Amino acid sequence: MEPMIKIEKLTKKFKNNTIFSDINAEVHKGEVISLLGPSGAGKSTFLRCINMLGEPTSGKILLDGKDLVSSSEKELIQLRTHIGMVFQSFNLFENKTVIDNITLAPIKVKGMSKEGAEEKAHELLKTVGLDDKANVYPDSLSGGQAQRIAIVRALAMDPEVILFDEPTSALDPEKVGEVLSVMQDLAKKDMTMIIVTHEMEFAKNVSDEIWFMDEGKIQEKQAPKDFFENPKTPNAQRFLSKMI
Amino acid sequence: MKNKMKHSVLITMLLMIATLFVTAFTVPSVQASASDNSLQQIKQKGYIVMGTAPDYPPYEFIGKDNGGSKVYGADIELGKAIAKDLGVKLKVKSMGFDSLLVALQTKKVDMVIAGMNETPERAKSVDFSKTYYSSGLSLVLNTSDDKKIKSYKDLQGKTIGAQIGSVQYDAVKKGIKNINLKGMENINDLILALKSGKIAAIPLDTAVAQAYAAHNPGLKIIDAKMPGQESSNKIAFFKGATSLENAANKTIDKVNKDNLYTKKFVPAAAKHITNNKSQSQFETMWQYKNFFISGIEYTMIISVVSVFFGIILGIIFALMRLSHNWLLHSISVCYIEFIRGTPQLVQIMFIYFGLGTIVNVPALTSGIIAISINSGAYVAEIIRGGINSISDGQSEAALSLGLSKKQSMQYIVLPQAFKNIWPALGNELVTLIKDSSLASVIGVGELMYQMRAVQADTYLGVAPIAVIMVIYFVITFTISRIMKHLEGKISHGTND
Ligand SMILES: Nc1ncnc2c1ncn2[C@@H]1O[C@H](COP(=O)(O)OP(=O)(O)OP(=O)(O)O)[C@@H](O)[C@H]1O
Ligand SMILES: [Mg+2]
Repeated sequence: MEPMIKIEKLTKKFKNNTIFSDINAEVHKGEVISLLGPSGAGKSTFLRCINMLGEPTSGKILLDGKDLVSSSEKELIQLRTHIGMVFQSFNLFENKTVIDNITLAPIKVKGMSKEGAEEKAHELLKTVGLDDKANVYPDSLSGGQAQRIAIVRALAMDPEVILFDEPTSALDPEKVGEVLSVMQDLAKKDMTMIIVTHEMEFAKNVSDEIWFMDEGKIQEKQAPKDFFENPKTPNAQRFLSKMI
Repeated sequence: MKNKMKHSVLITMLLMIATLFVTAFTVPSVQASASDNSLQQIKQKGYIVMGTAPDYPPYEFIGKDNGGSKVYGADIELGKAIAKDLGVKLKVKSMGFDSLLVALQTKKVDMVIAGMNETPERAKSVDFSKTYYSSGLSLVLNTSDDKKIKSYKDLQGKTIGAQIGSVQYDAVKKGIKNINLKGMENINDLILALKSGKIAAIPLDTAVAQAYAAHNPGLKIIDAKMPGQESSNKIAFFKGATSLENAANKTIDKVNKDNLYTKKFVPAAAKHITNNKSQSQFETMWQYKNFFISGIEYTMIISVVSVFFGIILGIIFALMRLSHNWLLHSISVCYIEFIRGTPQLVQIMFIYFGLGTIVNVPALTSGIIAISINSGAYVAEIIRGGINSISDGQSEAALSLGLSKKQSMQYIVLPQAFKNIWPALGNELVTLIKDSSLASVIGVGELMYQMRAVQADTYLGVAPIAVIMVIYFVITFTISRIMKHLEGKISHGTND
C-alpha cells in the first residue's frame, strides 16, 4: 500500500547551521509514530516541516502523493487542512470562546454552516468530557482542559494525520493522564499520528513504530518493544539510560 | 554585511524622496510672466480671491455676522471696490500673515491685501501695487510707562515685542540699538505680554495701535518719532500679473482721489468692531458661543476623519513593515521615519501649499490629509508593536488549521493586537485632537482659529484661551473615558 506521508531527502538549515539532512521516512494510514530524541535534536523542527510551518531547505514531503514543499500558497492551505497539529503550549485562540476556537476553521476554511460546525464541535467536546466549557474563554481553562480542546480543534477539521509536539510537557503532572488517554482513544480509532514526546511508557504502549532522532538523522526506526529492549545505536542507549 | 547594504540603500531612498519633494515643489513657483493673462483669468472665473490675515483691526478682523463670523475691515472694503470695478465677485481667504506671500506664489490667492508694506525682500517674490493708505509707526505702552518712554530712543536696552514678518519688526530691529526683540505671530499675544510686563512696548501701525489701545484700558499709544517710518500699505500680486495689477491701480487711483479709504472704508469697518466694555468677560464669551461651537465642529470633523484614515493607513503600513517583501518593507520604513522626523506643522503647510501647486485642495481637506498621514505613521508603529506582542503560536495554530495568512491576521492576530494596544490608540486619539489645532495656520476654522478670531474681535486676550482650554479638556477627557469603557467591553475579543 502507498504510504500516506512520504518524506524524501528532507534537509533543514538555519543559516549555516544544519539541523538535519537527507531524512527519508514513511507513515502509513492508521500508524502511530513516536518521535524520540534528546533535547535540541531537531524533533520540533522536523515536525514543523511536515506541515510547512517551517520551510525545509530541501527535500520533499508527499501527502497522498502531493508534494507540499513545491506547492503554491493556495495548494498549501488546502493540503494543511488534512494535517492537524497540537502544540506544547496549546495555542488556543485567546480572543475566541472554546466553541469558536473549534468552529473557526471548519466555517472559514471548509465552508461549513455555523450550525453544522457547532453541532459537530459539541459532539467532539462530549467525547473529551468538556461540553460544559463550550462558551468560556481559554484563559479560564486548566492546562489539561486546554490541551484536550486543542486536540478537539484539530479533530474538527477531520484531518488525515495529527502532529503532536510534546503535548503534555507543559502540564502539571496530575493533568498528563487525561490528555494521554484522549490520545490513546484516538490511536484505538486508527487515527494516524506523529507524536514527539518524553512520555516513554506512553510511547511504548501506543506506538506502532519509534523513530529515534539525533545528530541530524533519524538513527533508528523500530517497533517499540525492540527499541526499548534492544536499542542499536550508542546514542539511543545513552538516551534511554537517561530517561529511565 | 547584507544588512549593512540594505541599510545604506534605505538611507539613499530616503534622501532621494526628500530631494524629489524639494525639486518637485520648488520648480512651479518660478514659472512667471511668460504671458500675462492674469486679468483675463479672473474675469473668466468670475471671482477674485483676496488673501488676508484677519487679526489686524481696523484693516482686517473677524466680527460677528448673524450668529456666525465673517471677515471685516477697511482692506476688505478696498477688495470689494476692486472686485466691483473688475465686474467679479470677491472671495476672502484668511490665514496667518506669514503664509500670505506663499499663498500668493502658489496661486492660492490672486492678491494679498493685509496692511502690507513693500520691502525689498518681498518685492523679490511678488509685485506691489500703488500705495492705497499711509500710516505711521506708533508705540503701544502701558500707561504706567508714560513718563519713561517718549520716543523710540527710550527703548534702548529694553525688551520689546513685535509681530513676526511685519515691517515694524524690521524697523525696530534695524533702527534701535541694544534692544531685546521678541517676535510673536499674533498681536493679541503681544498685547498680553505687554500687559503682564514681559515686554515694554509694541511697535505697531498707527491705525492698528489705535484700535487696540481703545479696547484695552491701561494701554496708551505714542508716536514713535522714528525717521523714515512712514508706512505705505500696498496690494501684493503674483509676480508678472501686470494686467491685474494695472486694473487694481485704477481703482486705487479713484480711492485716493477722494480719500475714500479714510473717509469711507475705515468707518464702514469700524461699525463691526464690537464694543464689549460694559459686559463681564463671561457674558462676552457667551455671546461668542457660535464661534466656539463652529470651532468644536471643525475640530471634531478633522479628528474623526483623520482617526479613521489614520488607522487604515496605520494598518496598511504596519503590515507592510512586517512584510517579508523588501520593497514594501522599505517603503513603509521610509514613510514612518520621514513623517516622524518632520514637524506636523510643516507637514500641514507642505500639503496645503506644496500639494496646492499641483491640485487645488481646500484648507480643511489639506488639514485632514496632513493629519491623517501624520497619525498613520504613529498608528503604524503602535499596531506593529501590538502585532509583535501576540505570540507566534497564535498564528501558527491558525495556519496549521488551514487558515490563510490573511485570515489568521484578520480573525486571530489583529483582534488580539487591538485589544493590547487599545490604551495606546486612545492616547494617539487624544494627541490627534490636540494637534488638530495646528490646522489653524492654514486657516481651517477649528477651535484654535476661532479663539484667535474671538481675541481679535473682543480684544480679550486670556478669556478665549481659557474657554478653548476647557473645551479641549472636556473633549479629550470624554474620549478617554469612552475608550476606557470600551476597553472593558473588548477585554474578551470581538466575535467578528
Ligand atoms: N528559528 C530558529 N532559528 C535558528 N535556530 C533554530 C530555530 N529553531 C530551532 N533552532 C535550533 O534548531 C535546533 C533544534 O531545535 P528543536 O526545537 O527542533 O529541537 P527539539 O528536538 O524539539 O528539542 P526539545 O526537545 O528541547 O524541544 C536547536 O539547536 C535550536 O537551537
Ligand atoms: Mg521541541
